[in-house]
Amino acid sequence: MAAATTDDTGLRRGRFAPYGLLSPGIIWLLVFFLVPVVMLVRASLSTKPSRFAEPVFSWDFSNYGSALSEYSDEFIRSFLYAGTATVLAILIGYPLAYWIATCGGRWKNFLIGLVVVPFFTSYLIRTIAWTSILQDDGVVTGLYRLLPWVGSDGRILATPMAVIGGLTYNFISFMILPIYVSLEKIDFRLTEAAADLGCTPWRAFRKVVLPLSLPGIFAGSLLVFIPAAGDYLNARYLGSPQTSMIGTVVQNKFLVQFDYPQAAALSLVLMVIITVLVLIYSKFLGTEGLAV
Amino acid sequence: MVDGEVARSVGNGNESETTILLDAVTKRFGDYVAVEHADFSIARSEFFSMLGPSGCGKTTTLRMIAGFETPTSGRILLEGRDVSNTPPYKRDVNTVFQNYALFPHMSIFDNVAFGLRTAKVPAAEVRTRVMEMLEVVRLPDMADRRPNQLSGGQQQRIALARALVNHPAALLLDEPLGALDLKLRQVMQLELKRIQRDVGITFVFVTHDQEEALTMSDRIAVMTQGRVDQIGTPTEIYHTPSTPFVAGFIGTANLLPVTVVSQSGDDVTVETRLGGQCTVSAAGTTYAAGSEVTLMVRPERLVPAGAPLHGAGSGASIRATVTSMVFQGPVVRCQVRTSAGADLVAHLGPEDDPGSFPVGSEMEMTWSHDGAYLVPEPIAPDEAGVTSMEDDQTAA
Repeated sequence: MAAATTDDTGLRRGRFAPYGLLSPGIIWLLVFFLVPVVMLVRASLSTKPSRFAEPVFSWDFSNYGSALSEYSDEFIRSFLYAGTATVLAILIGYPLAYWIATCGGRWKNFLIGLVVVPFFTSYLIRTIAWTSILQDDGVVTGLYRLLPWVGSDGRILATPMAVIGGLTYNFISFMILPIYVSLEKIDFRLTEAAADLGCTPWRAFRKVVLPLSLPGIFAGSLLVFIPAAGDYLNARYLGSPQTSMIGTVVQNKFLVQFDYPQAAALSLVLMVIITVLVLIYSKFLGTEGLAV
Repeated sequence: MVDGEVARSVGNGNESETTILLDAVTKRFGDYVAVEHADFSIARSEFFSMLGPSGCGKTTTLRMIAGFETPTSGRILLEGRDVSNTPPYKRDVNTVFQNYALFPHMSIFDNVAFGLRTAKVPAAEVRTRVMEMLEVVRLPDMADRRPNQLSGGQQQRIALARALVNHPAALLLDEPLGALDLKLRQVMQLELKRIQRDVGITFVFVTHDQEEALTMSDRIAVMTQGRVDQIGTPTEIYHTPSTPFVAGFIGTANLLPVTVVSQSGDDVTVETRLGGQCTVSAAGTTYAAGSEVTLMVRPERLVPAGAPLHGAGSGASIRATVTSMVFQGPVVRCQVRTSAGADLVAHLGPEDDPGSFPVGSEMEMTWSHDGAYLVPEPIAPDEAGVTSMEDDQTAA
């Protein structure tokens, strides 16, 4: 009888163990994700009688209307810049990750460490550092002005190029790491098998290595695109008013104008658009990419 | 030498009968000589095995034929064409890899179709040839599965199908059965042999398992330390090994260092270290008196004196003490020690009455005239006695 009881509690503990393990995560999500989202939705449907008055909940959907009509340029720019930065991060990060994974040998961990090293400096400071690198009388801009189609008054700072460059630089590690992890897992004897079956090295890469590293590209793209689309620091320090992104507007509404309802509506619209884009992207890359 | 003659007799024929020719191929990795002067040919539709312990250069040789390694010197001819520096994707050979190397992101059908699609074979033909090949390996219902949904033996067959479907000039197999359990391995050995007969393609098979090589091969190249010691049919290799290594690597062999006393015709008289003399067939070789050679007696040819000899004519006898007697089913493994300290093993059948030789007793062992063979190379006195792969494995 005693044995049966212990067995029983053991069983019961076993059954509830998963929930026990999940509870910190669930509590975290409830407190720091769900509650803020509910508050954000509530704020987005409020009105503010005057600039310094508390917002009043009033089922006011006009915030959404003006979010889309007044700030469509910023939305388009955000997704354009973030998308370009993501593509650039793939083009620059993939060869680097590939090289580390295949030729790194015993230096692999050291090289991956180097990829992470920039994180030891604050994001803000790194971005501001770029303003001095790209300044108008600096070396980089000086070289840039030598290009035949650039005049002697050409600038890099305060152009979309600088903003996209900053975004790419700031988020490229998030592209390199997942791609490296997926390449690391690939058995490179598979490329030997492909060569044996008649594939040139390029075809072997396209047919075997690239498909097997898609999960890494997928994860990296999300990790770059999502924060880049909502970013305002790069647009603010490296761009100009003509290159402002949606993050710039939200930051301005929240922290400068205290227009919480409008800022909340903008944030939610951004969130919904990103979610839709991610869903389309995952359909396009195949959901299997997430499972592997 | 026996091996040279065999190799030549195969290589001599019509040039188109030779699929692969290795012409003085040597491969070095830095200072390390992986393959030293490999020089042999493989005939069309032959099941050819390269057999040897790990590190003997057999896999390197196979990888050079496949194109994954380039010979340091020498040439490799495939169907009469020098391919020594041709990349793997331009060679008409296909490989079955040790770990199968199936593409995990593709269905079984797509895996098997891979080579055909790369060669731009029309889709309809791809479909028929893939399905045909899946029939040959007896897995026609697996086309839509993924490799990780298949058992090891099934993956093995798919790897075989993926290579064979391209009708290569030669199929290269790198220890393909190594990862399978014993039962499955034995089934697959017979399967491989059947498929090879059905498709008639040259198979080049690399293995460290002598039983596997004996079961399947038309000819075997026994390799050690980068060199090919002997090439011959399984029977030749077993009964007339050209070096003490080959004798010990294929099956179990009792090896004794002996000195040639005299030769008359095909009969050679040799003297053992204990002073006993016996007469052995020279098998067409001429030995100078006084030369150091090795006498080999297989355990099934070593019998207690007085018992019926397994073979014709009388050989010699040797006195020894029984050190162990182990029942192994069909035979009793009887180990004895000579007064010179060499351990010998005899496989006794029921007719030898093993029960009458208790451990510790003295017995007289003998062998028939043709039960012994002279290996034309010397052996160190401390290496005398029984050698076999099993001993090597337990030592390692």
